[in-house]
Amino acid sequence: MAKKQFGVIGLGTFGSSIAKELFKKNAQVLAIDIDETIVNKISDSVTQAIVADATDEKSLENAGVKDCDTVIISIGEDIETSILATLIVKDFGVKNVVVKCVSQWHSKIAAKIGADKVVYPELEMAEKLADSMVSPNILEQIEFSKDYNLVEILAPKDFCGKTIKESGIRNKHGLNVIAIKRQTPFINDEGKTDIVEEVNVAPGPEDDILEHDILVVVGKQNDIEKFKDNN
Amino acid sequence: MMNIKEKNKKTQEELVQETATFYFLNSKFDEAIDEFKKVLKLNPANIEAYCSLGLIYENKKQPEEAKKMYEKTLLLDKNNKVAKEHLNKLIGIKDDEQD
Repeated sequence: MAKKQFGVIGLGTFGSSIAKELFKKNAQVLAIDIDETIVNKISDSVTQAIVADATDEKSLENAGVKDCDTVIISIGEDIETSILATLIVKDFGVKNVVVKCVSQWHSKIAAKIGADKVVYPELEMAEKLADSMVSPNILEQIEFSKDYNLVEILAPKDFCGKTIKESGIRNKHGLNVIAIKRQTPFINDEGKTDIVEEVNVAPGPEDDILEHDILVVVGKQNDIEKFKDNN
Repeated sequence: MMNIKEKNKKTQEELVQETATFYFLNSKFDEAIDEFKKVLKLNPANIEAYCSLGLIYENKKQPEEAKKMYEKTLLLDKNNKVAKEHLNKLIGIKDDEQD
């Protein structure tokens, strides 16, 4: 199967991180920025790095943006440039265009001119951080669908020493435990104490819950909220 | 006489550390904390005790305490791999974030 080709326009922190990650995952990555220093810096971590003006149609065409399967426009700070670049890339006929946005208006305009997906990394991160500060026992939260979430939660004290069945997490709280993460102490090769994380995927009803275990649970958002409030 | 005293002190430190490590490996973290603290009373420069306390506090979801312990470990041994890795993880620094 041919490698997928990605273009990343705008190599700030978000753009360069995504370009490098895609390249690490064996994708063909064309990285573009107007700043030569930034382009030189990333050149060894992507397939091709090119200096080009994101608002100049000819430059982008010469860079090979037309041949990309997906283009990520990550020029969040300069909305005008971001919008122009999106227009040009859509005009090229690129099938999938992802635009990093900084505001709701930015995303609305991007969607109007044909962006296939808009992302708000700062907003998403802020929501995640706020969640973790308000509910320190919730370690990770992923929205599955409108009503269902997947969360990593520290095992409540009254669950410790019980099996999953005895804890009543399914019957009383309506939540399903899909994995248990446990920190296991050990002595490493250098003879020093260390802790490794072991994951019990799809645990059975008779599996034990120990103190400090992290439970990965799936359930309705309302049930998760109730569970959070009671523990 | 000085040498014998020194030797005894070391042995006691080692004994307590052995007990602390035993508790640590058996996930008896509260008992391990008490013992590692005793180790530090006997030798306030025991790197292993600081690092192990960091690991325990991290596991008990007490990140501030854990950070303090890792920082103390790194003050005594700036190249301590375990403390460096765990401190970076707590703060959220990725290991390969060099540039």
